[in-house]
Amino acid sequence: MMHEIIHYLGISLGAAFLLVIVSKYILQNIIRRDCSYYEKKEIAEENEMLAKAGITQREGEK
Amino acid sequence: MTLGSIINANSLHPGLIMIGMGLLVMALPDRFKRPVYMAAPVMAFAAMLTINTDSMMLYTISSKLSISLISFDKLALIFMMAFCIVSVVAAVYSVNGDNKYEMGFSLMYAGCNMGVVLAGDVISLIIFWELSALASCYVVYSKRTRKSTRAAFRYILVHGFGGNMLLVGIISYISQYGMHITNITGNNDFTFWMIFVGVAVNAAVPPLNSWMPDAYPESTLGGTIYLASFTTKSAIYVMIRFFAGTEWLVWVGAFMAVYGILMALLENDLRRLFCYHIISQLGYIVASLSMGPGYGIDGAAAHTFNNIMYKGTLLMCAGAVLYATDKRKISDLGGLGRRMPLTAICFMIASFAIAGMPFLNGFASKALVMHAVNEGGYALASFMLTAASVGTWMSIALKINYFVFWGKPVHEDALKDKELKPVPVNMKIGMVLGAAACTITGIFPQLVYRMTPSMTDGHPFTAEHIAEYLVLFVGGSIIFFLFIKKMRVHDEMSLDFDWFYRVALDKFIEWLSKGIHGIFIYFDKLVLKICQYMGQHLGNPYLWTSKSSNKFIRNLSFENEDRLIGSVVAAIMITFICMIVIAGVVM
Repeated sequence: MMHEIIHYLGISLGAAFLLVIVSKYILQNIIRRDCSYYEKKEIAEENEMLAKAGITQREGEK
Repeated sequence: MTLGSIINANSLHPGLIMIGMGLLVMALPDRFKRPVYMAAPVMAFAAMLTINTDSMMLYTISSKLSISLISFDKLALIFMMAFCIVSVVAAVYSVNGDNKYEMGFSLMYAGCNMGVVLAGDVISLIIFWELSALASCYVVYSKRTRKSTRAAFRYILVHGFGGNMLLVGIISYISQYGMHITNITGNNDFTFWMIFVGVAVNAAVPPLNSWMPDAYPESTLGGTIYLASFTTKSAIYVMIRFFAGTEWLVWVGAFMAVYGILMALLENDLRRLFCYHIISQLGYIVASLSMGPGYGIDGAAAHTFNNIMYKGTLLMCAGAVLYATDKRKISDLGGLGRRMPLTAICFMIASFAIAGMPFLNGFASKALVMHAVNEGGYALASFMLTAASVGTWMSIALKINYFVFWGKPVHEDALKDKELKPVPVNMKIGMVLGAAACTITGIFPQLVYRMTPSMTDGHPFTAEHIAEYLVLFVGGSIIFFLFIKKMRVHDEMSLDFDWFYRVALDKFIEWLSKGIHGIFIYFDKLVLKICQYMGQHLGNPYLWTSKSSNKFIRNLSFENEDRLIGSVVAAIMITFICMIVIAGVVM
């Protein structure tokens, strides 16, 4: 039983460590972006289209 | 033709009841919407209890074609049971909604997925499948914000792609196997891949997964519960029917489990985080079903059932937090345990259940899944699934319980002076029902095991198995608190595979259209130049002589005032003779 416990403790420590390294040190730098990463361009395009069509966005519209 | 002659049935169809009631909710005046909305899942549940293996419903389209809307066995039983339970809980949770169209479409969406599970042939399956995509699209859109509208548009495009792949696969399938649903494992042909891609979209298999964290969080609180409970689960059901025993899927499942966890560890948005956990849990299910009948299919079915329970509860709790605080980001929350104790306790139960804490339902079904994978001899896949369990513990049970409910807020002043909106009673009842389901099926796992196709008993409560999970959690907790500063989330978002169609595809199309436009412009200018040249030279033939490089021809030009008349006469004569010779040859 003790052998099993040490085995699983090793697995969990190793797995948790790997997950933290991959997510918080590698992926964090590669795939994390500003919250408005997509919206910035979309909103600019929408405003441009609305301006061209002569329509103004209603106040308070999300 | 009377209705009796086109529908031959000895049983009620729970899915059709839900669809009918959904239409009724939309058609009736507003004051009837809540009673009908609540009655629908209860009636569907009652109808489901009357169905048995002899139940049938045939819809006759022509003398040569009739489709079977009901085909019931033990696999359908466990999925239908889960769908009916979650429909009742979701209806209780969201009964105070105002939008009767959202309510109606939610019922129709649930009903369509019940139709998929009960489908007796591939035609009824694809019909309910496509209708489900349409209904769920409205559920995504129903919040009617800019974000939800755009998310719904992307959602329907992705599901349109998946639905068409499945449709093509099914047409090909009918030509090969007929209409009856059979397992096509091992036939790595066109039909297999078309159906697989179609189903993989709904099962959120990476790289076809990103519609989920994109769309689900943008729906309403109630809508998210429906969305998280049906689309992916009915896709798993179809996957079991067609692909159970396809062993390479174990790697797909293991990858999904780890991928979901890595993304969840990074995520700051509560509901997006749960979406990644859905993907991770689906990974366990896909890995299990790849091992085939016995532990494999039973593990997949049991884990799907339990997943619907604890995932629904987690999303209901997240919805309650969002409702009370109007905030959805972990970085904006903190210390809510004392201010929302019921939500915190329900959340803790469900989060421990998803991680696999003994005596909660995730523990019991993970036992079947892990047994199936270990029995198949896939040690690396087994390690990946175990690592995902540790990651689940860290990214939900520790991360959210600590940063949202019981620990100090990330920002000290977060919610400090904010008065929380009281959570409605119906939402509280929904959360309590969900948490109770997780606990009861966790303490008495036989309730779920008995519904699985082979009724496999996982015998989860052995000292070794309990110790295994407790030790896994201890290891995960040690690393979590060692890296506590790193575990704090920041107000950022993660790019997912949707980047390829939201940015890369956008840029590619822009580049392509600019390229095509450039080619047109080039030829436009070229043709214009040719026309100008021809126009100039045909209109003024003497330009041909004046600009010629040949001295003799240049000498003939009208521009040359010193030209020799003899040369002109000679040229005219030569031309004239040439014309006569050519005319003679031709004639």
